[in-house]
Amino acid sequence: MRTALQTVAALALVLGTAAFAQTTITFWSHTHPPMVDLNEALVAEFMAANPDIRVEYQVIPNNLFFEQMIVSLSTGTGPDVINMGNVQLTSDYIPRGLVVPIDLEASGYDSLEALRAEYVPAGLDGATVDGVVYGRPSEFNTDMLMIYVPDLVAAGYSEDWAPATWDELGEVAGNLSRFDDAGNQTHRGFDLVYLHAGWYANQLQVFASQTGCRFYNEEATESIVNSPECAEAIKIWADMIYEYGAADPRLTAGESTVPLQDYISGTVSMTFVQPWGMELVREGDPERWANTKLVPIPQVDPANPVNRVSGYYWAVNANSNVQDEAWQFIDFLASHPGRWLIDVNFLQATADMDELAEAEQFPYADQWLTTLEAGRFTEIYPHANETNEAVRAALESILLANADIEQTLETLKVNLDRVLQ
Amino acid sequence: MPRFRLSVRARQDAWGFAFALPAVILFGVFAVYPILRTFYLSVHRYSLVGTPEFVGLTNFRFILTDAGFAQTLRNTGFYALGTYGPVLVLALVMALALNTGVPFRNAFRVINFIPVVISWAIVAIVWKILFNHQGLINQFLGAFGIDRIPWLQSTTAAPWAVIIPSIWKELGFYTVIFLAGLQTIPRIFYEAARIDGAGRLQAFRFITLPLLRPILFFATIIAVIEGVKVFIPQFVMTGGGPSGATKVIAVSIYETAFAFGRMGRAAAMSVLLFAIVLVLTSMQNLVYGRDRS
Repeated sequence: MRTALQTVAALALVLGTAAFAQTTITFWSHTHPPMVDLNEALVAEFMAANPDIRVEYQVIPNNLFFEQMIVSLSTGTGPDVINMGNVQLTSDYIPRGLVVPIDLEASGYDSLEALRAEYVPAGLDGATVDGVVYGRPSEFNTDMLMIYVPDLVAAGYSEDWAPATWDELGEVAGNLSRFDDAGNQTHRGFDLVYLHAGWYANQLQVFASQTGCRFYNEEATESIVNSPECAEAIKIWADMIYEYGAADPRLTAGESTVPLQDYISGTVSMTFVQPWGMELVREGDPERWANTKLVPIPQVDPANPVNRVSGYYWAVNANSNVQDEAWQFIDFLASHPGRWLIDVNFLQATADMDELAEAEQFPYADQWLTTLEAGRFTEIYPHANETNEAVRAALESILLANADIEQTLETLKVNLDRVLQ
Repeated sequence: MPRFRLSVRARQDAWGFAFALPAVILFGVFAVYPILRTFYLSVHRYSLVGTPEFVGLTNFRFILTDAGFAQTLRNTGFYALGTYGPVLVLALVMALALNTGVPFRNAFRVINFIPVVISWAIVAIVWKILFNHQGLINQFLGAFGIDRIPWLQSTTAAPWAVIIPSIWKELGFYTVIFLAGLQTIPRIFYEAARIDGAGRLQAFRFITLPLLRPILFFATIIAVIEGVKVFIPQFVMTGGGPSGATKVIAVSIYETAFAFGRMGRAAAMSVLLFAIVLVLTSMQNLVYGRDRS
């Protein structure tokens, strides 16, 4: 009798344990407060709907993000689910086998065509190599020009003003700048964000995509950054500082958690903004947001506008032991495009984006869609971190020390050629 | 059958070894193995994924012909000299002052030592804020009519922006070292010198300096090692920029290994760093040995 009771108790214990056994998925993302909030909410909802799966979510500081992610995935200690920029994904993660192709079945799709049909035509391109898709878009980015209208009006311009060319932007931005008695700039009419190397390279791509500048040739066997097109792209940026006196990178806040801090705090009148940036400004200073307008970025050739497009994608670690659950979780994250749109201002490039009820509440929805139509993915190049770091050093020489552009690009070419070795 | 018995001495040695074994294992795993692995990787191509591929001296050849690495060597030398030259001189002066009967000398000793106990990361963040273009330091200079200095954005100012907090942070440690050395010199030497008519400068030159030489040697060795392997101030304050103006060897090693995924090249840089420290300390040892003989 006693033995029988012991057996039953042991069996109950084993079955009970099995019943409550949970699969754990780890998920890491970079820091972006509105995104972190929604991620946390969705993680909680996913766990409630799937009691057998536990999700451990971790936020990595932006200035350490790229290093920490690639090292952890390379050493087999990374999370199961990552959220990664398309440049890093296609230049480093996919070629090195750190992430796996999409598991259509686990994601709930019959075919790749069915998945593709969920997105705009180029929606999955940022995570596609040799026709194989490795991720689903968490955010699809392009740029618009953000203007604080009261500064414009105070300088005597119409509140409807919008620049068609970079020269028009520079002239007005120069007039919006303010200086103290000693001639030090105290307010910038226009400026960009000076953070880590990725930011420098991304912002350069805005100009580069319009002038036709590429860092490397198509085969990625040689750098062609010393081209006139690249010199022209950098000159647009440098002119804002030296020609128009509109920008002074030395005044930048360099705040990596809130990259648009300079605009929010009122020390800059105009800057680039991507969809996710709108929420940062609205959260940072609602009054400033209320007096802000967005217009298309100026163009080198206004008759043929070109906007660069970039994206972040959810992907699954190749070393993950829970890949099915990871894709299931990603599908859950991706199944709320309306909430991503409203809560975080992330465009997820879904085919029905303009039909979403939330799109009506999304600021500048039509303008974003028009901008995306003229969008093209930025150049995919090998060794993204190393390339970006070399580009940053060259840009700092030009933008901070007024180094000669052509000469600096010759040095950059030598450095980029060495990156390929 | 005769029983095998260890001698008392052998048993004592065995026990001693047994007690030391955990430390030896830890040292082997966390110090010796990584060092050997670094030498191994320095002649391989390895990106943390897959198996290292033997490439001979390719990594060393690449580094030694790289203008960027040459710049990091110059930056490291400039930082080490710019920081620890003044630190050693100022620390000696400070120690001499604190070794006298000045009032409140204990309070001064404590104040002087406070920066040493603050984490380097915090020190770097605070000084980064102070050196902001519109920060306190430029405001202070502005009060005297001096134009703002782009401390962290200029290739000429940024190396100094890293050196200044380093001097502030390191001074206390070397002051304590020198103070300890000064207090081991018997006062009777100075009294005898005074009776013989020696002035303060002569006493310093013929008594203090010679007797302080072992401490000076120790402090210089430590300073050189600290200077050459510096990482945090540059990493936190400037990230090695602008345009690589503050990129020192350790920052370059970190970046090459963990941002660029080129472990072999980073390992080769580490081996070179090791060689540099070895050569410098050997030279110091040679000079000290010659003086001693």
